[in-house]
Amino acid sequence: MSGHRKRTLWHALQPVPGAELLAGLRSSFDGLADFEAVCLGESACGELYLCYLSTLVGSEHLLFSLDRSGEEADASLIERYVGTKFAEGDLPACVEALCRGSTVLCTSASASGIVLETADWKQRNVGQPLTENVIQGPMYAFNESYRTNVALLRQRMRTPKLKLWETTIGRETAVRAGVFYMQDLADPGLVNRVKERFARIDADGIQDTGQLLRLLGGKSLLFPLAVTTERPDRVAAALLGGKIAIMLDGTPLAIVAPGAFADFWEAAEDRNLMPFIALFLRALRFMALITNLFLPGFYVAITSVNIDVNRLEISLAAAGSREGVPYPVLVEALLILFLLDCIVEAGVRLPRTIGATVTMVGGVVLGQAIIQANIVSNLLVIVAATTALTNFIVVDYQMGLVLRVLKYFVLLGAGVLGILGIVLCFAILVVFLSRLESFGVSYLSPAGPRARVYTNERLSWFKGLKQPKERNG
Amino acid sequence: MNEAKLPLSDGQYFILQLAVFGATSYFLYPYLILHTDGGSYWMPMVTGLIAGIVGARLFSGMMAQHPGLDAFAVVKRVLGWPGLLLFALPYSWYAWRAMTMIARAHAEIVSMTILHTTPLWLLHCTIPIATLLAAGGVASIGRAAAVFVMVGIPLTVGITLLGLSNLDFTLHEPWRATDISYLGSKTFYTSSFVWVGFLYLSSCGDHSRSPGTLWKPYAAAALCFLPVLAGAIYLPVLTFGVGFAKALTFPFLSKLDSISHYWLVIENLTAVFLSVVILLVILTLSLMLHSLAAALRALLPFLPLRFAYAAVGAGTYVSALLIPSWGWIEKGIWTDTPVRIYLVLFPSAVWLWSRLAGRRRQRA
Repeated sequence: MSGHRKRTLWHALQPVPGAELLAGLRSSFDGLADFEAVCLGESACGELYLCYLSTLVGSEHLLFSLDRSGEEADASLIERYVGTKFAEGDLPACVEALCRGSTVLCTSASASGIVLETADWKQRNVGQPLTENVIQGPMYAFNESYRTNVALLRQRMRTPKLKLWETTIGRETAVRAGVFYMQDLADPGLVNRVKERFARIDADGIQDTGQLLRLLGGKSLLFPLAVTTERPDRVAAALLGGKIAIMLDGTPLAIVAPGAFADFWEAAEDRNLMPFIALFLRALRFMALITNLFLPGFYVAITSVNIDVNRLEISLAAAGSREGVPYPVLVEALLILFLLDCIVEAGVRLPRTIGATVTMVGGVVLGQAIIQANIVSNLLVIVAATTALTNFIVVDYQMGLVLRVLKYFVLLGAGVLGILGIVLCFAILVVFLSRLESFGVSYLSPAGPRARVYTNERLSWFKGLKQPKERNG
Repeated sequence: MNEAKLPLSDGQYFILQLAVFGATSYFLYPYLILHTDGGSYWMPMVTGLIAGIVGARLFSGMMAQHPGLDAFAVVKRVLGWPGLLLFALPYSWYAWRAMTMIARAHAEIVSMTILHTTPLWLLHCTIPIATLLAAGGVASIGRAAAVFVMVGIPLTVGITLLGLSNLDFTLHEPWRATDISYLGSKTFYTSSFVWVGFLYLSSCGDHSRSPGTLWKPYAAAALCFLPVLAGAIYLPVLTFGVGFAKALTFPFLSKLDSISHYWLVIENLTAVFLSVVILLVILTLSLMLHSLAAALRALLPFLPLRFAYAAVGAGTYVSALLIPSWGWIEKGIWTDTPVRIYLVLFPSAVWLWSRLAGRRRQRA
């Protein structure tokens, strides 16, 4: 510590007439059982107090000894303090610092205190991704600690071009949020736009990036407007593609923006695989999307509205399997899909040990019973099972939920207008998507007029084919 | 997103033109061409194609006068308010009539072939969907076009290719007949509605980097679609013979009904074909709605944009419902022919006036 800084710091503890930092802190934290204001003893400036929230402070940081021999001893006290940084702060700054886990060193009559970084936040260790598993690729994910997440990203991208802009959001909770972008790669307009959006956020507190994403803008009530990921490698790849990443303290998911519809079908390991394998997998996912959205509707269309579209043999088989079923096909399909969604939801919400049993009971026992009771046909159970299976192929959880909702919309369209209804539902979806924007970029990018982030990309299906080039020489 | 900063590429114009061809080519065109005099069906098609390309060239020449403006703004700048009235009023009339008839024709075809009991007011839901798309602007239309054409064109082309089965090439001879008597046929001029797709892009000129070359995507789309168009006319002829094909209201759809392969899962190809073509119809309607709203805004600049779209959409929906019969559609397309030809030739007046004004300025 330089002599100048020592003098500045101890100047902060000088008594100021009328100033009562300690009293102010005690008043602010009145009723908090874990607030402690420990009197360390006399110093040159008066009685020295150490204030902290015992649940947030690491005990190893509070190992110090107190020497009563004046200013020099106080200096040695700070020298021995086991921490990283310290600063001076007035009452509001000290209150905010205490909530962050810092410790405030002050006297009973000082106007400001010395804020010591003593936080010992409880957090998970860096572990494997929970929702974005890969076979080939890095096996670690973000956790709930903002600092850890920033460090993980910095370790992947060792360049000063990776810029980080930070702010706090939430009037009450003051959560730290950071915006990452690559200098010269990200659109400056996009970065400014996000900063402006942050400035406009007016909320008491934000708990997750999903909430933050809604507050950052976009009028979508259904489709997620940006990809959320827990994988540092995915964030790094997106940053190199000119996008921005937003991190929030207390959540393991980072927002990658802007997000286009095609981005939700790109798995983390697509870039690690051979180009044609990646292309095949992406095509498979798109086929699953089509199946998931349209298969129940198609079944309803060809068995109730456009009976003549199918070959006679298949129509007869479908009619045979429905023999004894008392409801119209549309009701039958709605019933089985509703049951299936209940089973999926129960499987997600229940503890893992019970979840498997519920899925087994719901899927197998109930499925068998419902067919034997002639409530739904065999063929429809196959259709419903295929629909459920294809829903799990969706890479992004939020997009999977959207598809679960949309299949009912298509089902109703098919029930009214048959195949034409399916096509019209598809048209409405495309029209809706063509008007949607994510952070100023079209949601259907790269189709149609292109924004800068997607300017250099071909059709999304071929994105996986882009490989890093070998350096000449 | 600032639309002006998101220009449409030539490829995107090509896609839009392809969609317009896909939407307008199947419902009346085969019938009209089969009823031209002379029996050499390729000649009215090629004549239409050449006339279309010349018209598109004239139109893009007019747009090139003032890059960055749409057709109405260009006309207003060159000819002033009188010129704008002479262009925008007939254009609005024509676009409104064309939209109404395309929407109603497809609703009628769907009603006649696959959904016999569904009320027409429900089948006209293509108009509200197209209005929603048009209200999103040219950029939205361009994006939706990429998806619709990616789905619609391969399927329509594929189904047309399936029609190559069971053909008897002796049913239409001689193949290379060069009888020009079709030039005297009323149906030949009526069929020109297929070739004026470039008119529907009149409100998109400000999205083009080089409006002077807008005729190229049109020409490319026309040439690419020509074989499909030829298929829509010749496949029924080579299946049923000239006489029977002429007697059918929808010769191409009847041909699709006759296709049967043991490996084909789908029995009723017509239902699939019509359902897919509806995508292209929605796209074309949205283009026309957008240009009609732009024309209205050029004439009435104080009109709020949203109100313009709502009014145009509602007006089209109601007028499409009021069309009494299929015969009325055939008659309507014929009576619009003079307006169509006038609109195609109008750019030459703009071009001439612009040249004269340029010379006058040089002299002065």
